[in-house]
Amino acid sequence: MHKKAEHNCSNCPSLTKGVFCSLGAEELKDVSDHKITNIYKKGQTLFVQGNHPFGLYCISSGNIKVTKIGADGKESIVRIATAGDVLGHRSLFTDQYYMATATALEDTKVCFLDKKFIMKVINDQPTVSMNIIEKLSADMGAAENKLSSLHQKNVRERLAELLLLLKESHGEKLEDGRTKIVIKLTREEMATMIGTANETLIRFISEFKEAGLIEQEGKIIIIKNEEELIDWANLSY
Amino acid sequence: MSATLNKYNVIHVSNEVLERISKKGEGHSYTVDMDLFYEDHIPVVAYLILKGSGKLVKKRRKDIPLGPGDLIGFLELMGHTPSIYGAQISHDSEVVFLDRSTVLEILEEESDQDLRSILSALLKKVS
Repeated sequence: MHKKAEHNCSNCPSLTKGVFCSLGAEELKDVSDHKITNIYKKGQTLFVQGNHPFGLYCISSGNIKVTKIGADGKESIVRIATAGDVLGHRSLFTDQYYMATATALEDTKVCFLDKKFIMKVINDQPTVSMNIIEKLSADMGAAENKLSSLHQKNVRERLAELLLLLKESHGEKLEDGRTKIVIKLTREEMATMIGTANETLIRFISEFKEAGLIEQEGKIIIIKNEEELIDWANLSY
Repeated sequence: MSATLNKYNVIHVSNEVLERISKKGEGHSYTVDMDLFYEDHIPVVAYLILKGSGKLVKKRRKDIPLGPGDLIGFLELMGHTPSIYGAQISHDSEVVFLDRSTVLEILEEESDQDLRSILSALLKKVS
């Protein structure tokens, strides 16, 4: 067996964004003592659609894609979970199996707490349940927005909206005012996020570049003109 | 009623222990081959194979076969230690999961003293 691994929640870079941010030192130690921490390499799965749910996964650092396989066998990205996000929280309150697959997009540090333990924490610490409800509500809001976008917007608008969402979640402001999106997604992955074909996405990315909205450094996208991008996204709020 | 530990950290339990553990954990049937946990990871639960087969895997090494009665990931889960091997389960296999809270319940509160003694003895081997 390998050496015992130790990871303390109080040192977690995502503590302030996570569901345990309101816990005191003693309660946080209980969580630290009970949790299992692993680093998932790119492509490794945390859980698989259709499998039995075990508990709650908290992302400490890195990015996870949450995907669903359709009846045609095609994979579509439901959302990207990042540091401070939790996964598997819906399965805590239902007896349903996982409805999606969670896969690491890069080396990602993830902590796990089993269902019995997290339910005890929820019962003992109402603030934790409020934080989980907040996460569930945000997920629901994002899902509703995505659904309406798929119904009401064209591909150009959906791509502009996706870039703005990625800017919010993974944007890094550069000194010259541009914003670098620090997540490496393949064109295929981006295409599934806006419900279009790979070829169509590539065509629109070229159009966005020609219009001076974005530019690329390898796989990394940089937003040059955010105001114009907002206009192209046809945001209603 | 017995459980034996081999050099790969696989615990093989007798039918009686298997039946008693089955009542404590939750079960799942696998329809496709799947990774249970990866090499160098701490398993998030322990897995007891009820039916079918699986294997422990390690890069550039021979696979170690698993079968009914094999409990894997238990010592790593309870000891917070990464596993040297990854584990895969084959399709048409049935597995019972034991999470950390359930194991602690067995060790602290279980009325089945035989089961408690067996699990305690196993954990002492690695503590």
